[in-house]
Amino acid sequence: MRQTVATFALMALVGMLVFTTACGGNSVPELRKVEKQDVLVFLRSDSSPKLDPQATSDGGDAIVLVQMYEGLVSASKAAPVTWEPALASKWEISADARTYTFTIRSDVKFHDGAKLDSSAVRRSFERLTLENDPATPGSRPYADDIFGCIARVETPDSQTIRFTLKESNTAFLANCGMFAAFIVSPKAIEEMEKQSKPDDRIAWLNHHPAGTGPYTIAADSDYQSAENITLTAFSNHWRGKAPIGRLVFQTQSDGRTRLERLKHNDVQVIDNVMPADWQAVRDEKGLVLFAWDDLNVAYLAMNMDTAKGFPTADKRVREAIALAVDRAPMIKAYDGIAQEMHVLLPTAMPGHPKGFLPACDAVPREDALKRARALIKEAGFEGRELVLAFPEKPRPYLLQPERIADLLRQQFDAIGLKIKLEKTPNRELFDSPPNSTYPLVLIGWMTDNGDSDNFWRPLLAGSETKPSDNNFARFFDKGVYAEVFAAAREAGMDKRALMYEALERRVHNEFRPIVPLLSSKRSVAWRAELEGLYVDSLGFLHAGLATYR
Amino acid sequence: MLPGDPARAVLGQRASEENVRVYRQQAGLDRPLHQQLLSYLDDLAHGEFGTSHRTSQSVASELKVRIPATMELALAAMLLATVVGVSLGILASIRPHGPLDLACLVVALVGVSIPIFWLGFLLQRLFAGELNMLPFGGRMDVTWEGFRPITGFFVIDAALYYRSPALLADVLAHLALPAFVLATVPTALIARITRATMMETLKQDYMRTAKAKGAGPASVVLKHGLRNALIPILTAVTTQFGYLLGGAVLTETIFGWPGLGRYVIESIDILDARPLQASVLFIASAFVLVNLLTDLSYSLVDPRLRRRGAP
Repeated sequence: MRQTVATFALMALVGMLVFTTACGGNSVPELRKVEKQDVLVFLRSDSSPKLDPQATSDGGDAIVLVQMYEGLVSASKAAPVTWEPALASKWEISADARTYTFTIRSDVKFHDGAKLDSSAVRRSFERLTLENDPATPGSRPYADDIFGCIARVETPDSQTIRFTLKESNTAFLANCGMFAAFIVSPKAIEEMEKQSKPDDRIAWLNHHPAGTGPYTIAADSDYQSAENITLTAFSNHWRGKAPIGRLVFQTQSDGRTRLERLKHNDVQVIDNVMPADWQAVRDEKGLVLFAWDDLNVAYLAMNMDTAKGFPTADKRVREAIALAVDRAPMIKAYDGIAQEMHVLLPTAMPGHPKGFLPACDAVPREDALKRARALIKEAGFEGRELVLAFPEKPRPYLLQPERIADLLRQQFDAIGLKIKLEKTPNRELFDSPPNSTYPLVLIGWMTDNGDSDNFWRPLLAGSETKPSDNNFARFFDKGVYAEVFAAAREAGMDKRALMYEALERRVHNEFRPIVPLLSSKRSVAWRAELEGLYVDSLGFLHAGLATYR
Repeated sequence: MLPGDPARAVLGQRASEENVRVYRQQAGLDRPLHQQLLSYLDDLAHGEFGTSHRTSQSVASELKVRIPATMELALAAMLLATVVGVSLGILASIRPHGPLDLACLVVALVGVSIPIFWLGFLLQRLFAGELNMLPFGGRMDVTWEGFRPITGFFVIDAALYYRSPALLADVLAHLALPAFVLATVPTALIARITRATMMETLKQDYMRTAKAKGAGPASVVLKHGLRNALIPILTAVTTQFGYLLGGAVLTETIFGWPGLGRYVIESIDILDARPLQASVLFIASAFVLVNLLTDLSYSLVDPRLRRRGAP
């Protein structure tokens, strides 16, 4: 009997422990149901682990951040990307593109009640750029490469802020429109200074209002997890309160389930509609499909690092590979939602050399294969095995990595190269460039800010002495580096575009470090009764003006 | 050892080498492995599970959301699996090889064999899509405003704290499909074990004695038969429950259930070590605890085991 009582007591104790641990001891808030018309659910494929604009480079975070925060300028609705007033009502750029002066709007308040002025903007940029700032989030992916160019920030008056750069940089206006440059409330920054660890500051920002955007985090528990976030319309937004009161972000990795839930009005917006479903969505009366040419490129990088001893360090091998590539089956694999790419910059970007084909790409297919085989033989690499690494999971620029990698394997087999495919975890592959063990990498890039420099500098240039960490081809040429930086400094947009066009001609014909393959479209779909939703020219969906008909 | 560089995983593809180096230093990733391990154990001894690289949230605060979600789903699934599985097993054992036994066999076989993701999608399409009877996923409707989790068990919160029948009905409706899908495999296993054990028990001499003494069929099967067959059934039930506490990745993914299974997978995906370590620790502890409670409960079920010196 004693044993039985002891057993019961132990079980009860464990039960109570579990229960009381789970209990927060909170008081019960008032509960009510809102109208379905006052809620918009966006079901996406990504999640949002960090809602700190300065601490993330993740597109999944950015989708939420653009609803909550604003920058000095914002990207235009329609492509190509141009910059429009946002928190800055106007700006002036000096003739040498070294000084940028912004006039700050005077009617803007942050979600936490703080007022927007030039000192608030300066404080936000300090947190972004200064390594030892007391509120720093620690990791600041864009701080050095994109904002390391700032030499001085001045605030001559409460509505004016002036950035002086270390050297001329035409891309700086675009940089100010990136989500990393969204303005964070000075009051929130002050609160974050009280947190001792950088991670705690980011965590704090996930749960507290700190932006100026049309939606805000209204309560601590509204950020339930990276997959489930509820935003509430901000009453004092300078453009007026968003018509729909609540914006809910949920995550579903399966494309078919996303579409099914949209069809049944369980959710109102989904992203990344599967290519095979595009036509069905277009044909469905209750749905709208919005597809656009995204500013991205998928390419094959050929490692040129001579120290590694890869055959791809030999220009003949790189040319042979470029000659062997046939893009047509790849486009077919994408169900037609991609277009062939022969240069680095997507067609919608200034600096894309319209009509230009690198010499290897202009050769008829039969001749190209013959020439490729001869080049491989001449270089002495016939029958040589090469590893081709590709990301395990799809990215917006590479929707079917395994399929494309296999097509490349077949095409290279025809010219006498044996390809060993290596599916690599995305993070591991992204880490790899500086010490890469892969002669061939199937990878891609999507723009941060719509500026051509954002392709050239990270992918085919780097710093003054070495290639950047994103340069999978490990291509570095001092002359090319100088031209890339000269283009970034050029204030005349037409001249700048010509400089990038010249770079495309030179790099692909003279060095051939990469083989651009394709650029894919992206898509979102929403219920037809919604209006006012739009996707800006950088590919971000904005819900602040959305209403139900 | 996990492959890859956690610093890169945190800072992303576009971080500079210098940023990565500074981060490694700040996070102690540049220290020898044994020092990192000792430091982790020291934190653990102080109840500190660390911080998630992915979200920058404390792992403890994230587990506080994930664990109740997983436990609620696992409990609902096990309740369903136990009631249905034991009932099916008993019915099948009464007339072995009869039509009912055959039907139970088919149900059990289908339950074990059917791919969970396929069943989940199918039921979701049918009940949420075509029939519009149940929600597609999540833990509650998005139109509730002001709901703040108290215990993290939404059924308990709705019933005891908010005392709202409408909210309770909504929470139960959201629980129904994932719990049903998750219950399929345990139901099948419990049904098979119950059938086998009951068939063995029903052959015993004391069952004939019970019948001879005039006990009714229900009393013979449930009072004399089931009670004697309960220990293997209890073991099967609690073992399955232990597995379910580890999270159900597929079910959670299909129904957007914010449980431990998805959390573990997401952590593996981006080399987020701290949440992974804490989750594995919880899962292992829960499994051990459930087994301990099972062992203790044997003496409640079978009085013979309470005697000192019993095997």
